Amino acid sequence: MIPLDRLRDSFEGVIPSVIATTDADGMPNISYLSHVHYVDETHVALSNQFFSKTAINVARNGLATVMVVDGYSGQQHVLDLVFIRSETEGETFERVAIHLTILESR
Amino acid sequence: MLGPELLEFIESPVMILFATRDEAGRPMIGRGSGVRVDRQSGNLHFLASRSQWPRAVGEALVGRPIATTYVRATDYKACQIKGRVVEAGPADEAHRARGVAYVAEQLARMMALGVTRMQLSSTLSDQELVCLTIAPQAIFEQTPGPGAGRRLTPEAAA
Repeated sequence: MIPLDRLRDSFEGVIPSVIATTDADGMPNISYLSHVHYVDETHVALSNQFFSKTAINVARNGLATVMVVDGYSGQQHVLDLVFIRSETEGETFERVAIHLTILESR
Repeated sequence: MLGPELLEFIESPVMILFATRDEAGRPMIGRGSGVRVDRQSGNLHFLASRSQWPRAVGEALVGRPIATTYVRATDYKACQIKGRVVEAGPADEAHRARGVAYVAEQLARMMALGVTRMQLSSTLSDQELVCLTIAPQAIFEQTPGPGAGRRLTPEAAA
C-alpha cells in the first residue's frame, strides 16, 4: 500500500476528488467531492455536507472508494476506504471545518 | 427513459465517471471514454479503458449494476444514470473511433484551459477500450445545489 504522505499533493487540492459507494441493493453511486483531507499515513477524513446518498451507504456497509488527483502531476490514485468513525468535534474536525470556511470565503 | 435533452447532454463533451462494485460491495471507480445512446433500445454504449481502469472494468460483468455520471465542466451541470450491464466486450471499430475522438477532444479542451500535457497524461485513455451496453434504470440530478441527488422521472428527464 502506498503511504498517504506520498500523495500529499493530491489532498485538499484544486482538482475535485471522486467518491463511490454501494447501496443496500448493490447499486453503486458515484459523485465528485471537493476535498479529501489528509489525517495521517493511513487515514483520511471526508466532510459530510451534502452527499446524503453517500453518507447513507457508508453508514450501511462501511465501504467507500475515493479517487484523488495530484494537482501538479495529474496522477490519479484510488483509495479503498473503510469507515472508522464520524466526528463533530476535536482536532481533525476543527482542521477540516477551518479549511472549508476558508474555501467558502473565497 | 432518456429524454432528448438529456441524451444530447450525455453525448456532448462532458466529463464521465463510472462505478461498478465487486461481490463484497466494494465500489470501483473509473473514467468513461465516451458514450452513445442506441436510439432504438435506449441502451447506453459506454466506453472505458480496460488498461487504465482494470478493476472497475473487470467488475462490469453482464447483469451487474453500474452507475455513470456526466458533468459539464463549464457550469457543473451533472446527472447520474444507473442501470445494469447487458453486454460487455472489446469496442468494435466504430465505437473505438468514437472513444478515440472523445478522448482527443477532452484532452484538447483541458489543454485550452491551461492543463499541461504531463498532467493530462494519466487522466484519460483510449487504450484497450471496452464497450459496455447498459440498460438505464434510474436518472438522478447531480448538479451541485438543492436538487442534487433528486431522482428524475422520465418526464422530468425529457
